[in-house]
Amino acid sequence: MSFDREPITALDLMAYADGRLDPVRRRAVEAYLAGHPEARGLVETFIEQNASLQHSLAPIAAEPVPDRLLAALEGQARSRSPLALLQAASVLGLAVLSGLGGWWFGSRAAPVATTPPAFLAGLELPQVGTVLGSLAPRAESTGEPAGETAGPSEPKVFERTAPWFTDRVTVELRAPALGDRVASPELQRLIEIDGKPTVRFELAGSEGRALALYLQTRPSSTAPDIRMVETSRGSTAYWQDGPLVWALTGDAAAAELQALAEQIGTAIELEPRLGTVDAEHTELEPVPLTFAAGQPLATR
Amino acid sequence: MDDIKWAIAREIPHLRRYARALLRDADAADDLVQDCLERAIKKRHLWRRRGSLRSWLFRIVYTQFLNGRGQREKAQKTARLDDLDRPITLPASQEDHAEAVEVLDQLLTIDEDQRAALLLVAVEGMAYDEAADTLGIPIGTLRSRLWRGREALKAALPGRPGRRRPSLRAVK
Repeated sequence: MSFDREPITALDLMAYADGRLDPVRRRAVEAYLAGHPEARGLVETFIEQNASLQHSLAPIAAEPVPDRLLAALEGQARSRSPLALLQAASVLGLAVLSGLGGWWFGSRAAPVATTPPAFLAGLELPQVGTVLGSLAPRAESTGEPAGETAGPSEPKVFERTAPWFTDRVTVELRAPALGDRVASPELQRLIEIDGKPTVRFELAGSEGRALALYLQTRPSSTAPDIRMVETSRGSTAYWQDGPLVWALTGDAAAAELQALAEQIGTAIELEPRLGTVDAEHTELEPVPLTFAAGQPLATR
Repeated sequence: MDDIKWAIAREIPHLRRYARALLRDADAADDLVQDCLERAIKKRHLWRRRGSLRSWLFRIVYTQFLNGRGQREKAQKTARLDDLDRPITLPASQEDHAEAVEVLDQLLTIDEDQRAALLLVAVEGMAYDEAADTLGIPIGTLRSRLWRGREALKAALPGRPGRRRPSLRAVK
């Protein structure tokens, strides 16, 4: 029995064939079809159309995707574009993203991703008035003449913000999920090798063999590999530094952005910290890795 | 590859199918999809995870398709879906292949707007509201286009028995 009293229309039949009716209406249509063979024939025609179209077009979707489409996905078409020179150099936008992908043992030898990081698409240009206005009072507070406010290319501006960065940029190192291979917690040690704190992590190898995983931090020392990319909103310089990806964008010439990016990248010092080694070298303090941006290590 | 690129990559085969059924020509269809992908990557910040990524991508393809309509009409491209005569990856029987060419040839005789709507619903399996949103039309307009498209297709493909063609059928 159907409670749906609305008359059945041709569009209902089509929606029924497409499977787009709610259960109540579907039931009403089925009741109608039972007494109307011509309507049933129409529905069968529509169902047959769907099946024919799906069947006929299925091979196209099964074809290998051409390389040029995959290249488009990687933004390679845009990467051919020359760097655009933007207008006045006045503002600085800076973004930082932390992530641990591919960073292990503090390695800086890992190749820099050739594909611009996804977050570049979300960068916003700072407002000129806002940024300049916020810089001026700070310059006064440091005793510098207002007329000689450190411009965006002056590292002093960034150095003043370093403590702020230090408070906010923390990279948490998560232990690899190794399941049964991880030996008992008693076999995890914070030891000292060559005067440096080192984590020693024992693992179970095959046939009862013991393996050891070591982890030491390694402060950055090399100049960053700055890359430029053109986004819909202008030029952006980005670089990868350990687990961090930096991006510098703003209403400035690409050459200026690159020069400033190199300046910032060199000024930043990544100093991952493992913790302190106690007298017996047996306790591993649960201290997350903390990176200091141009500042002494901060204990968190 | 980040999440959104991965999600976009998954839609490429469907976008290619849609574009080819709209445009007839395989190279032109891939050009259309490439335009779509470049635009999607460039504008992906505009997709705020509201609604379906699939709809957004198909909307880009359809918009690009509409933008090129005048140029296409001027060029008078009337090529059939000859690319279906080329070997395709799925091992289709000769009979299936001939049927596919026939169905698609008939599909290409119906109005472009109706075809665009019909493909989204019948082939890509979109709900009516999603298809309407993709095409940027009210749902009533979508239903109307679907109906007229189906009527036109019914006239072009009369008397088709069964979902999968049995062994006996006319040979073109």
